[in-house]
Amino acid sequence: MRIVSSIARKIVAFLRSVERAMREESVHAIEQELKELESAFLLMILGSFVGVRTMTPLLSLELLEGLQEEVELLRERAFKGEDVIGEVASALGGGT
Amino acid sequence: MIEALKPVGCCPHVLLVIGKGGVGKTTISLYLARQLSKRGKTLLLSLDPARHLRKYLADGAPGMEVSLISLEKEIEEIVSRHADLLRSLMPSLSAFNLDEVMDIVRYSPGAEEEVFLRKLLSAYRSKNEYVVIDTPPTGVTLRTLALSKLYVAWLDRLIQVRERIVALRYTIARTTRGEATIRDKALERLYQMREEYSWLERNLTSAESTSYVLVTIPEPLPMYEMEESLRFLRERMKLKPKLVVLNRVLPEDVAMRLGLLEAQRRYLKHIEALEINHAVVEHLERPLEALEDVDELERKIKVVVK
Ligand SMILES: Nc1ncnc2c1ncn2[C@@H]1O[C@H](COP(=O)(O)OP(=O)(O)O)[C@@H](O)[C@H]1O
Ligand SMILES: [Mg+2]
Repeated sequence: MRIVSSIARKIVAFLRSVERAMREESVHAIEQELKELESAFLLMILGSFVGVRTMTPLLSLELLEGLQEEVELLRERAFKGEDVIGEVASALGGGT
Repeated sequence: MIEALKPVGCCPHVLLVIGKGGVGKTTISLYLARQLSKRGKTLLLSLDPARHLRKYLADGAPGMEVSLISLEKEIEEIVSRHADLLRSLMPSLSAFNLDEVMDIVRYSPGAEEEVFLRKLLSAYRSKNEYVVIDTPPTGVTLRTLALSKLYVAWLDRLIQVRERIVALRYTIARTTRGEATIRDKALERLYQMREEYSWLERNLTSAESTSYVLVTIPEPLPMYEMEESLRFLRERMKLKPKLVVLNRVLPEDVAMRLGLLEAQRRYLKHIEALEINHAVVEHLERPLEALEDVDELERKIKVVVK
């Protein structure tokens, strides 16, 4: 498997597209979107542990092994009293 | 029987032996593994919960490696290995306790398929020339084969979200601090996992890397299940099994005496009509008990290469 080089290639290709895509938006709007996406990303991964079936639990576990930093982020925000999951659930129309 | 499996690419070549419980999956797997081990390093991986293999292997099997796996135990092993990771998430999953979350993982529908999928991945990565897999019940096997595609689709979706996150973080860092690096471990991990599972998907659908062997006996339910597997492979995976094994075929005089001749002939014709390589294995008079009995089978097999 020549995974490493192909991943490197993908990252480079992706980076090239980043700047172009981002220029016109205001920082505030971007920060808002970022926060929502971070929560959504975590919900996609953690949902399967709490019965919101976004993918299967073992895939979640496998992903989490590589996502320790992301977990830290979530923990910090939960620690600060933010209801990360609830936030996303309401964004999805669930309402908490 | 091995001649009928061409093309057999290297390395490893994985054989998936599929069939209803009781049709002789384990016996045929062992037979194939015995034959293949004469040609190269062979692993026989049994995920069949009925543990007939133990009976055959009381005295070991020279020349090949055998691994008996219980999917249930594997799930338990994975869950307990990740208990700390799950515990670290607990503050965020505050409505639940650790035991509840562990139970959700443990008993979630599809857990067996997920473990099997990982076993397949490690089979293709292993340093063997051949890996023969005595599969779990057909339903589990077929769902597992469908799962690799789903994994890739899920990972694609996550990658889309993650790429956007990284892009936004990058932009914010550039505007507020004027400099930014863009390394993101999560994204790298996601790319890597997508690569792995699409590699698995490619292996599973390549005739060079994989031989599907369907085992059945001349009886309605096993035949029906064989048809189901055949349809699944054709329609969902766009591939054709290399070999269909009709096991436990009675000699005509015996079948006649038992009033089974007509049905048996009909099933034989049906298999002929599939236009797939097939092997007809005679029903042995006494049950197979030892490795030698499995080797005996050689003289009881008629292979038809299409
Ligand atoms: N060709 C055959 N003739 C007679 N008995 C057979 C034959 N093939 C398998 N058996 C016996 O049938 C039983 C079930 O076979 P096994 O390989 O364990 O099936 P499976 O793994 O599909 O459940 C075993 O006792 C085995 O010895
Ligand atoms: Mg068996």
